[in-house]
Amino acid sequence: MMSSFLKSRGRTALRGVILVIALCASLEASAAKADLDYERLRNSLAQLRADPALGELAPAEISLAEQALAVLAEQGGKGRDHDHLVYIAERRIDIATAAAQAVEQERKLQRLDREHDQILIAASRRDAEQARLELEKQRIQSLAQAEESDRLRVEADEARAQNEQSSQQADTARKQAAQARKLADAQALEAELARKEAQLLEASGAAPTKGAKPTAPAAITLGDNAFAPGLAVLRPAAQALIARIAAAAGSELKLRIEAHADDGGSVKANLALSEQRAQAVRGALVAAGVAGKRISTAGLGAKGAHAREVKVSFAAH
Amino acid sequence: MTVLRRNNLFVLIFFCVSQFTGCAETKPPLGLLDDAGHRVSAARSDGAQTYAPLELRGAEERLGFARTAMKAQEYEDATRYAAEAGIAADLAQARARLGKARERVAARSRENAQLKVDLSVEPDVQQGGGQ
Repeated sequence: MMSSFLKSRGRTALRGVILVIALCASLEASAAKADLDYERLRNSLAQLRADPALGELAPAEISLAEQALAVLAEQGGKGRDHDHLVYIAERRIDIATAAAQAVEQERKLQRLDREHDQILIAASRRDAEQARLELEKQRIQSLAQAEESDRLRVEADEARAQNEQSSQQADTARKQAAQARKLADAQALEAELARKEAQLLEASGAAPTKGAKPTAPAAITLGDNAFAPGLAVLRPAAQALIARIAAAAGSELKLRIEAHADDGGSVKANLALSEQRAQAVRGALVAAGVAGKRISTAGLGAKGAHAREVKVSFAAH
Repeated sequence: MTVLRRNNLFVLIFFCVSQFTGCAETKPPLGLLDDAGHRVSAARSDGAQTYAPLELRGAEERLGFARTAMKAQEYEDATRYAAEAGIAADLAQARARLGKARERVAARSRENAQLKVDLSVEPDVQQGGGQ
């Protein structure tokens, strides 16, 4: 009796326990289904994962968030445990989002760094191009200056050549003037000689008739001053008479030169000296233009104490 | 009677086991607390005070709760608060890094824009700036 009673109570208790367990399981299942926090976090994580910009930038952090969400889904918990798991999962998702955004910012920063470098490179290229253009400009200017210098140098050379030509012309003019002066002097000398000749003729009593053609004198004598004592070299002062003799001889008259010497030496020496003096006068006349074949010479020896004269006589053919 | 004795024995064994496992689960979470403290310090060092003050304050608050619970020998609460303080510190640190990155991007964008104006240059590159 007692045994059947206990068995009956045991079955009843077992049924109760089973009923309670089934009830609890049913409540937990309905609680999990109705966990709005879990749904919110799951949607949030799915949204992050599906984001085209951020979804693949923080895989490790997203994985940790998924694990936290899985723990929340499995263990759920009640009260403080649930809140704790939600807190952890929510921050895991926030961390994943922040990490992905940080990676995105780092990539933007890298692009900006590249852009910064490109700006500097572009500026550098532009500066280099400007420098090249400036260099080209300087080169062209230098070339123009060189051409201008060449042109000025050519002009200077031409001017110098013109100056030299002018100088030569001036020299030529000076020479021509000198020649003209010499000619004038010669003409003056000729006039003077003619005047002296006229005086001599007048002194000899054979004054030329006015308007008649002048005739050659019979003889012209070179005085003692023609030669130095003991020498047979004509003095410069005798050149005028030589020229006069040559002029008087013209181109037809023959000349005879008779020279004398001082009586200071021997007869032979005096003859030789007189002969040398005659030859000196002959040489001077030949130099003055008288043909040598028309001249005859004679050394006559001593004539007196100071008789160094040379007499030149003119004769027709 | 035999059944009752047997039930008492089971109850005794269950009590001992539950006491033993309970003591194991609620031992002082010293390592967890230290770790949370280090993570909060790291977040502060990374500039969370400037860039994520709310998150840093939440982490410090949770760390304080954990220490208080630790003193009160409420180890389960201390464990829970320490874990929350650590994860909040991690969030503060992540947002601080994000804030710094955004500042660098903004600064570089301004610098590039000014550089373009100063050098009168328009490089042939894609624009990388912007928030």
